[in-house]
Amino acid sequence: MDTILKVEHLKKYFAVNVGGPFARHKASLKAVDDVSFEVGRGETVGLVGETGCGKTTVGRTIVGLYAPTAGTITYCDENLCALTREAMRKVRSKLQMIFQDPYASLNPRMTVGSIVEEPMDIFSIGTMAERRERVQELLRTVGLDPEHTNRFPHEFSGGQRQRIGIARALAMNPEFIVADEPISALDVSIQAQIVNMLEDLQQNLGLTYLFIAHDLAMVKHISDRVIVLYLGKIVEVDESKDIYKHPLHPYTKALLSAVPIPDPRVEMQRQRIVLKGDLPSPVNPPSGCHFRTRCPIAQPICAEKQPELRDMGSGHVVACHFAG
Amino acid sequence: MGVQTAWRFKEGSTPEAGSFAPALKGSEELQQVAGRPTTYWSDAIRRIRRNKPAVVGFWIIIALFIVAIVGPMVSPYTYEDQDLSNTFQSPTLQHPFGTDQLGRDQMTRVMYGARISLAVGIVCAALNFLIGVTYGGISAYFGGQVDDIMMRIVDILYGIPTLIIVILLTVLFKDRGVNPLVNVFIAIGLTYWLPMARIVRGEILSLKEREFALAAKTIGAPNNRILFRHLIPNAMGPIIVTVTLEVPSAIFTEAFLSYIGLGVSAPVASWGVLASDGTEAIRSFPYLVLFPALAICLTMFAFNFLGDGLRDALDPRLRQ
Repeated sequence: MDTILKVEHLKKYFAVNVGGPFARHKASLKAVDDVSFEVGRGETVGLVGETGCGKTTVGRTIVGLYAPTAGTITYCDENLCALTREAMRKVRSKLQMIFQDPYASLNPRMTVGSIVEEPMDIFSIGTMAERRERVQELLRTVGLDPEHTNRFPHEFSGGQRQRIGIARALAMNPEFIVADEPISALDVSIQAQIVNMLEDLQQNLGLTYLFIAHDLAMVKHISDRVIVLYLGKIVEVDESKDIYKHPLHPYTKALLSAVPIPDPRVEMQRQRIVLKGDLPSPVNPPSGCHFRTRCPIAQPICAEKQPELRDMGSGHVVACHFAG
Repeated sequence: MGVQTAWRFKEGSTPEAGSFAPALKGSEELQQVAGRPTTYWSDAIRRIRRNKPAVVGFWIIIALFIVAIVGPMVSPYTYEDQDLSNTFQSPTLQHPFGTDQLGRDQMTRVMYGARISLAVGIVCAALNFLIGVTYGGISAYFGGQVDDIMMRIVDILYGIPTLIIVILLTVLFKDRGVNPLVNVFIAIGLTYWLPMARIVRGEILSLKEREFALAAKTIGAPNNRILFRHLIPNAMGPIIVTVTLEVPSAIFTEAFLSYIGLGVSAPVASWGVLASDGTEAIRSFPYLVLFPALAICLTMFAFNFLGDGLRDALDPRLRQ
């Protein structure tokens, strides 16, 4: 498979102030700490993990909203981190993003038509009439009434707004779309509609998705491969059909045990692995394996040595001393 | 889907029982939308209309503009025509506000003073928009060191009293043929955009983290487009409120400066000059100070009531 996006040793640290008003000092919050992965053309990669594990930061760094602290992002043999601002702006049109909150991601002062038209306006593509026609076409593609171009975002429901956001992302004929929890703010019945639409669009337009989510059932449905993040680090990567059957990392096992099963009899017997405690602070992560503080099988070695990602065969990669 | 009923009736008339009938299936009435959904601005206008002082303030400001523009044109007198045989006249039909020590018609002079006051107000509002909004927006949008430096400059300018700036300018421009009104404009220009810059900065700081601003960045929008098309239009509410509260304060500053003799000077009639002249003869001819003082009061009230009303109407936390 031909690789469209390659992320190597990506790090993104944010500077934060810690301590009280008297003993203040600067520290770095390691939102993403040495993450490497590849995405093949036409593939959907799911990125999962709990709140604060760095999923969104990875997505935003890829589309260039954040400058990485270290590491490289290669898109179609072009290193995005080395591009000038102007060159980056051009490449960005191929790399688009769908945002989490459809209520916040559309400018309330602009009409739907001008929101969807804006990318074409910025890059001066086509004449006014051509752009207007393209807007109508895009709205039809995402299942909205093309006559609604003069309405404002607040006149639409959450699902419709998310469709507007998708139409905007599609305006420049992108190849790669980072979907940052595109369905988590929506009603369950609408979630299915949007996911099905994303799948149809992928088939018709040959898109590649990086699908960020915390809903594992949805990720299983849409993704070809799943990357599990914990505290800014990858803990496990596998084909989505395998990872759900044979998770190797204890964190993945715990995550999967939290997925409800839509059958009451099976659901009754579901064994939940409940993790103790909260996610440790990414400003001061635990030594060795980041997960050891909450791991049910932690041993003394976990505090000393950081587990490397090991290949367990057929692309199944896991970072645990006791896997396999 | 159940059968929907569409109905409407004229305002004020109560429809009789039985006049409600379900709309026919497939008729256009079923598709009819009851009304336009309320937008931010239509909602704000609805709320400000219910605020009586704000509405009164609004109409006083409109009246003030009309009087300032039309008044001196239709008046049979001009602000500088002297009539030494008719000095210190009490209010009469010929001179409704009386005449001053040189026999000039006080009403014409007060109406002319409104021109100066409103000119000061317009200059202040324009500078607020041009300098204040842009400065605050740039400072917040670029953030970091840019923000630090730009805001420290604001802090320093804040520390210099307007009075000192005016005195310095008066000394500087003395005998150079510069219109003293220009002094007042420059002084107001140097100081009155500062609160606006701070308010806009605060607004943009929170708006720039919103997802629509990030979305604009991902579609490749350049910085000036994000700032002027996405961020500033969304801060319009607080900007308008600040302008309506800054304008009366600038008008008052001009009146004050003229009163103490640092603003415009004779024979030009500004409310401050008129009040100052009137005070000299306050024991014998109190009406000379009464009318300019009333004009100042009325303008202050009108702008402040309107500004308060706008603030209540545009603040989403006070939404009813």
